[in-house]
Amino acid sequence: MIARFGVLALLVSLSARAAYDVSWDFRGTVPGSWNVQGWTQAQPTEFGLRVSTTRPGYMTRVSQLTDPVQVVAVTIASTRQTEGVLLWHVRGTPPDEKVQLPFVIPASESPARIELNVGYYPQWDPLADEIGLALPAGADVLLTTIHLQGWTQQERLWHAIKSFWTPDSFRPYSINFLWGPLLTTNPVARREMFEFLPPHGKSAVTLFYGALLVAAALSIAGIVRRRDRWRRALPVVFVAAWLLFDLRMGFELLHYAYRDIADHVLPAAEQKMFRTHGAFYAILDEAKPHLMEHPRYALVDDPTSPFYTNLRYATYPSLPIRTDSPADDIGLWFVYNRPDVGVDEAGRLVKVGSGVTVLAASGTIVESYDRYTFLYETRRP
Amino acid sequence: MTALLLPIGLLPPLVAGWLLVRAMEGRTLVLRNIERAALGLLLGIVGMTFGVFLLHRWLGMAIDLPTFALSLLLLGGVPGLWLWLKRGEPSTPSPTPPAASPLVGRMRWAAIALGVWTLLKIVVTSTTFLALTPTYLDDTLDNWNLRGKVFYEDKALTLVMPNEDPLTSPRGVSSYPPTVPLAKAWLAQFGGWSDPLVNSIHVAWYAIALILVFSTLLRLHGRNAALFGTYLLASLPLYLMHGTNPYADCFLSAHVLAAAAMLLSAWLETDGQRAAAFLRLAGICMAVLPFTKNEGLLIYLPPLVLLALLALRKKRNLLGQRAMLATLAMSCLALLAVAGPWLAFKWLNGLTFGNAKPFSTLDIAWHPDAANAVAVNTLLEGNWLLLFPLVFALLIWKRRAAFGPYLPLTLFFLVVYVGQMMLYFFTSLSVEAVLQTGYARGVVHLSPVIVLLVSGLMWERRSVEH
Repeated sequence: MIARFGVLALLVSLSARAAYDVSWDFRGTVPGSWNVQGWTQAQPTEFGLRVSTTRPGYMTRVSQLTDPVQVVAVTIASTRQTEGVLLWHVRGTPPDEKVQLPFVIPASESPARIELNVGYYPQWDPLADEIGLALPAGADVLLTTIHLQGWTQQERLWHAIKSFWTPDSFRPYSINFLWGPLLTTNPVARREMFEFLPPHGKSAVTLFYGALLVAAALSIAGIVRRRDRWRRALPVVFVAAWLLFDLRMGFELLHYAYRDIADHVLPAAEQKMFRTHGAFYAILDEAKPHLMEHPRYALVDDPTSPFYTNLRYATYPSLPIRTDSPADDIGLWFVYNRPDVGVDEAGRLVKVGSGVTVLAASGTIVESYDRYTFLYETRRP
Repeated sequence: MTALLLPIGLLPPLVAGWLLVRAMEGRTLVLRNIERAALGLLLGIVGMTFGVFLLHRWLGMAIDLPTFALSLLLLGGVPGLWLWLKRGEPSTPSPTPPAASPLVGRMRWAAIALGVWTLLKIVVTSTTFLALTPTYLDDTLDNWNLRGKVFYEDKALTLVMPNEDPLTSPRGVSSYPPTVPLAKAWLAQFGGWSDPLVNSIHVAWYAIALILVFSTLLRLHGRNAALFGTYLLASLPLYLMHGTNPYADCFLSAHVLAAAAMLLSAWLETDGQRAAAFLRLAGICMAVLPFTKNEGLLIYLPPLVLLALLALRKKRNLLGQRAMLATLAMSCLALLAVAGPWLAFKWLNGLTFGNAKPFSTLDIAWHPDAANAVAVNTLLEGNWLLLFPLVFALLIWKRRAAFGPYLPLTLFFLVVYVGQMMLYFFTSLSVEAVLQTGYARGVVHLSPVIVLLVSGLMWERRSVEH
């Protein structure tokens, strides 16, 4: 009865929202007293704090935190992509010594919420007594809110359990290593843990070793005191750990297969996506018959993408020539996701950069797959 | 749907390999049918591709269906003819496994549950990754599949990969033996180049490794050990990834396992004729290693040859001098027959010997980062579950068994594993460990052997406590 009540109480407590959420809302008024330095213009508006500056600067305030914070969420809009820096002061360190955490503010018309899993960094002080934001020269942003979030012990335990069962995705490195189960203690950290290399989370395998050490101690005590049940502790815990680990990793591999089937196998051709390559394979299926009509064709794509290798294999003996320079002897151009390459009014294939470069003088788009991806066939003079 | 042609493509090398294995056994049948089929398929594929290599490079035949057919005919025909000529001679029947009481109660249900779980994982992942999705991984795209497609389209053993520098290209992926690409080119003879078909062959190598582990443990320790070992190998996540994706490391692991398992069986055998049959099989399995991957020649063959010599010395009284010399001569001839033409071809074409980079360019220096990376990959990631704590604990706990009856496997594992560590810690190959691009491949090669060792030690009764 007591056990059932305990489980119920745990579930009730786990279903609660973030236990601690300090919100600094800049819409209409500036919350609290801020120390602003360096910026040429910082103006409160009904939509938030508008900072438009020709000089780098920052603003900080005393945080008055009473509970530990693990996530800082900044809601902000920027006319162009800008690098912001979260600042904090660690208690007990000199007052002018502040830790900096750079982050990217993407260009957006409406404010975007940027969640920083600050708890991951060993330099973070969960009760930092001063927190702020720095922006570089040229920044033009609208700061709406800053949230400081923390979670209770029960919630952190619950998120750790959920993160244990959160699988990675099938990526090119998955054939070389599988990160395995990770532990994080809040939803933001769990959502982004595999987005970093190495991932932002602690290996859960250490828990197995901890359990095995305890079991080994019990087994040794069992041998010394001649208690059979204790002696069996190590093999029993080892088998249990192995099975649990197998279940976790098997789930991950089955999840890879599930995502492949849901994203690539079942959808219609125009909706197929595949792992890290997006719609590439679906487009390749359509483009391949055209590409294979030419012994050589030009590939105009992001030079850092892996698609050249894919095309070289998929269309052999037809071969891609990776280029974004004019080439007279190329009959077919495969432009893949290049916003700077298009067909002008005269029907020329052009690249627009600091100037306009004509890649092919005349021809037509044979097939178009999306706005920046198409096949262009040149016309013989 | 083209993947459904796989069984048709595998049948001819299986038959040819079966005849070869059966001929190697001689009058003393030492393998059960399923083990003979698995080993036959393994040797049939490598034998067929080696034959095609010889016919193409040394007789000028094109890489096409007639050449594959001729290679298979020679591979299966010669031992088949020998078996036909010897058909009147009596032979000892295939062995029956040690009796085991039926699994009952919880153990039965646990075995069923684990079996279903394991099958589910293998079937779903292999079908999805090999047959239903496009070719994705780097080494598949620029090595195994690309070379296979080039061989198939060109009908030749082209060394310069498309769009690559004719001078430097042969020293890249073309330095690897062409076995896996040629096996894919063989499958493409059945209706053209199809990714699902040529990729599906990889699950056959995975299945061969599982069957060989099962059969070896069944022969040595009975059904429970066999089920345990097979589950153990199938449960290793990164090994499953390699078994169900078109990479060549599981293929190599099956070859290393075959040689080590036959050697172990010979080592533990108390009957002279049976020991000789296992040694002949070990000899043929070792002989093809140079034609699998560069590591097969440089890393796995030398310790296996040394252990085979140790086994011959240990069994010299049991075998008798004539049988010992015959086994030794046959193994040496087989090794020379494979390694000779292949190494001559490499030498004539300036091909390299390293994995990722030639051994001649490796400088000696201590690389501390590699140790940390190896520890993380081995102990803290999801690659091997808890295999390494288990194997090292067993090597200490059951040291008498490890360095007694299981000495060949223990020595092989330690020499190769420690040898690889030395390469990662003291040469510029450390980058392969630090970036986690190479270290795990070596462990994949060894995984079946480690599982065989672990299972054997757990079931071996001559432990310290006894």
